Amino acid sequence: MNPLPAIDLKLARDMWHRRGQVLAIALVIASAVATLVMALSALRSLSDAREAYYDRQRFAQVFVSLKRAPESAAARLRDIPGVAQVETRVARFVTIEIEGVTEPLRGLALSLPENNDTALNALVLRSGRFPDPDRASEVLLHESFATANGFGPGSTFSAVMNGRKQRLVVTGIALSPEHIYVIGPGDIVPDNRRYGVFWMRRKQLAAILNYEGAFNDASLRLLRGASSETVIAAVDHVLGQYGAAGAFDRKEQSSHAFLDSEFGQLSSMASVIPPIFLIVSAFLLYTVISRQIETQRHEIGLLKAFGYSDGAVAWHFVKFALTVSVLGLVIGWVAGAWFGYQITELYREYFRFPTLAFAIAPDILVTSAAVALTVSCGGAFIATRQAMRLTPAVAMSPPSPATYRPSFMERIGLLRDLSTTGYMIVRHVTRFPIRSGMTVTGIALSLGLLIATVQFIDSITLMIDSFFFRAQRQDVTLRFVEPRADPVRGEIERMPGVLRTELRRTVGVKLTHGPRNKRVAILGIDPGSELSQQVGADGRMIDLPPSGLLLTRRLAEHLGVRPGDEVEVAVLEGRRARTKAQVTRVIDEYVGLAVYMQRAALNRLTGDGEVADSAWLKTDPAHEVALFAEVKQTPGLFTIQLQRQAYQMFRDLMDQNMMTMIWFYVGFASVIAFGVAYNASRITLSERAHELATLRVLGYHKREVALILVGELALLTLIALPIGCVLGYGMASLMMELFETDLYQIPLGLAPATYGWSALVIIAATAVSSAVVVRRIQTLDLVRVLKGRD
Amino acid sequence: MSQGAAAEVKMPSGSPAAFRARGLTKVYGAGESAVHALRGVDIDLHEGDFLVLLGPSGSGKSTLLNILGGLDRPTAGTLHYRDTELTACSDRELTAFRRRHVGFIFQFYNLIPSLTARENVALVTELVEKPMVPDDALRLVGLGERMDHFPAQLSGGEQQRVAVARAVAKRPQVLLCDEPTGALDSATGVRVLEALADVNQTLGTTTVVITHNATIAGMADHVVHFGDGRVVSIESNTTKRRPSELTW
Ligand SMILES: Nc1ncnc2c1ncn2[C@@H]1O[C@H](COP(=O)(O)OP(=O)(O)OP(=O)(O)O)[C@@H](O)[C@H]1O
Ligand SMILES: [Mg+2]
Repeated sequence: MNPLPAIDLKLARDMWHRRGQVLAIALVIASAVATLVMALSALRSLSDAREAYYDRQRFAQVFVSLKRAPESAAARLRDIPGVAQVETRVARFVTIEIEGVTEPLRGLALSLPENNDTALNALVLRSGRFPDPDRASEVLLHESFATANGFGPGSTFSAVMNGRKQRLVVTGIALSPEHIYVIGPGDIVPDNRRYGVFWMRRKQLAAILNYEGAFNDASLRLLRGASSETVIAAVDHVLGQYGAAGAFDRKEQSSHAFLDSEFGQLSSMASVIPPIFLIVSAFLLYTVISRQIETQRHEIGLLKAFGYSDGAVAWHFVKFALTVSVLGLVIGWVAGAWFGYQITELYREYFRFPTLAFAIAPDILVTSAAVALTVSCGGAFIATRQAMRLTPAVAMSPPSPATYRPSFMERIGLLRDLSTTGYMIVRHVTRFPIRSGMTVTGIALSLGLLIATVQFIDSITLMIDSFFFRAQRQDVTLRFVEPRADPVRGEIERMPGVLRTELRRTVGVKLTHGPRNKRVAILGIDPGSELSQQVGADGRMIDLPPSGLLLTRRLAEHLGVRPGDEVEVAVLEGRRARTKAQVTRVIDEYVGLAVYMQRAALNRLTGDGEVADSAWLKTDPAHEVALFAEVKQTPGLFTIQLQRQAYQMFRDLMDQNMMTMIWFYVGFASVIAFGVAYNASRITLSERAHELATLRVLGYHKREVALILVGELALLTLIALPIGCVLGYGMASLMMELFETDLYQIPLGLAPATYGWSALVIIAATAVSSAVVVRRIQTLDLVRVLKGRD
Repeated sequence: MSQGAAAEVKMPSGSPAAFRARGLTKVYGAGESAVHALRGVDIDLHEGDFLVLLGPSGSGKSTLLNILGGLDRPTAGTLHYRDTELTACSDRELTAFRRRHVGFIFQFYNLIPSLTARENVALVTELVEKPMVPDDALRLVGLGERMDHFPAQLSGGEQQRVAVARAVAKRPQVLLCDEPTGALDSATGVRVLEALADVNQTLGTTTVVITHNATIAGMADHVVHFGDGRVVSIESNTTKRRPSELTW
């Protein structure tokens, strides 16, 4: 092997000499790369898995549910231009009972397709077998409910269908592309223990529900290039007379939409956070290399005098940056792969895919490498222009003492009472404003990043609290099978433990404003509600207007409406009325896209008279079991839902899913903070070793000398803190906007404590890194430092 | 342990010993590559003495001076300052010793570039109990007019005089100077030396000056010739010359 060229030997020595800094920068780069690889790979793994799954199981593109249509209507659907395949079925939400469980459970009963091998939304059998066509009680059960309740082939449970309790035997466990994310109607998070999907042979289910020769649900696959909008319009036209609730595109299918929103968040993460890390690492490389060039001007002069070209000298320093970046890149790849794997495992719990393998695509590695190397070498390159400008002669002459002058603040008369060492700190900081500015920027950026990530915890808490303690304050939600006339109230009020009853009506509508439209549900509430409060952007409670609509901010933005504007309301059920309604106010509510109206006005709009389809109750928990039993026995009541459980489920989902992600980022932000602070203290130390040694010679104790070093960092940190807080606020707002989905919008809930904690982390990072550097003062070799003029 | 060529070198003087060194040895490195910077130095320095240290390059002068000033430790041997055994002191105690008793002047002035002349002096006057007023110290070296200038605004000689003012401003008992005129022209060098002689006379400061300039030896009480890590000889001047009488 050839011995290393001398100049590379120097590079290796420089790197070893600065190994702390090299590692710090490499870790910052690694954080950027890891984030990128983690988010992009998880995203790719998930979306590839979904694509493959959809493809193999023929996931439909248009869905529609309706009251009841004769099977002959299916032929008319098939005739719609652009439709390739139509699958009809019978579907019904039911109450499930499991022996020994008093809690209310809900389920979705679906009819199996005739031929699963060619059907749309074909099932994947995980274990067991399909139900026997001739045996009435056999079902396939969705894996999520089966796993949560410990069910397998052979298990039994009951379902109340059409008022009759049916005992069902599980013959197999299955997955469906329609239910990758399994979420019950009206739920905001999956509750696998209390909501399950199961399939029966169509003949049997139809018999139970009196749907022989009829269907109430259809899925359509379109020809390549067909417009789903045109098909949807045609479907609505064909099925209008059968009480269709409006056909909708895949985009609005709940499982698909949730996956989309999750994918959107992953890609937001990949687009916001890594760039910040990369900018910081470019900063760090710039500062380290320009400092290196300054201290090595002699050597650079020598190299040039020996005949090394400008390019060769610059290349020498860029090689330093490249080596650091490659180190960071490799660490980042490994960490990113590991984190990505963890995230994917996390998703495995919520998303039911037949196969979900975490894979890292080579192009993601290449992209991350290209981005990381370009950015960090960019920083290095800017720094090396300094070295290229040095002429051999200039580089060889010793630098005269740096010129200082009283700082601006001294000139205007401030700082008069500073100690002499205090002046040393202030003047040094102001003498090198660019370098000080970079340190301040670096610290401020890491503080900002920390605030922006930690605040997720505040914001999610605010989101959950405002939903459960303001928008939905009930203890229990009762849903009816069919809308019921208002006297149902009396029946409910007599149930055990019921303290307050508020009737509700929910109606699916399509809101249209100009070219924009959205399918949503209007929630009808009676005035004077205590179990549901709406607030405006100013945080004040809003009274329900007699006729107009209250819209959430995101929906208003989506439709482009402001208070006072009119929207077209197309009711998607019953008589399918079309009318106009005025938007009275825009409200702040963060879960879903809520639209509120007075129940009476809503009933007028649908033309249904005084009816309700659910009741929100305040109850006495002591009578809960009795209430459950009563509800089970009461015909016409479909399901009962406990808000307490919904709250817990939501919290758990956020804790496990979001919080894991957030802690990754908090960790990364701390790495940056440490990298910046350590780097700044190292540079300060090497810049000032001579001065500090001089002070030691003059009789200053180590502690007093260390104070100068620490003082400078403390001053820079102090300047950086308020800037970081402002940056944090900005980044947080940006992230919140990027993280917003139709399912939930995370309000900016920055708590003052978050600023405090984040600042503490930054201060700690600065303290730790200056402590590391202060240790070097302990071992400062006075004689050697004073001998050299370095 | 080791014994130098000159067994015990006593300098004729009436005043008590400020420094007493016995068998001072300094070895850098170990084994084959070990460098013996000091090979057993025995020397007594008396209060108020003005001593010039002459000797070829690499003979160990700086090493000795650094050990005297508590900047460095010998490998072997003992060193007393008055009643304190410096060789037994901790780092902290050595720092305190420097802080209270010692002023240093180096060939490269080692001023703090971010501080003005006055503030450079204040750096040490802030540390001790009865210092001079920084302005007085600067006037002593003839820099009364340049007190608010930063080092970069001063010539080499002026910077060195600030270093002298800084070293004497705390009224040290000991002044240690390593080639204080090395970087200066003759006239400027003389001004610096005059400042040193003044301090030695008015404050009775024990002063050690390392130099390569044999002419300077003329202003010393005693001239120590150093060679190969040992004291080779000591001569005492009967008549000291004033710095202004020296030229080179
Ligand atoms: N840190 C060190 N490591 C190894 N050897 C050293 C070290 N410091 C000094 N030496 C050696 O010790 C010997 C004495 O050095 P010293 O600096 O005391 O000489 P000096 O008499 O002051 O020389 P000059 O007149 O050139 O300043 C020299 O041979 C030198 O090489
Ligand atoms: Mg020397």
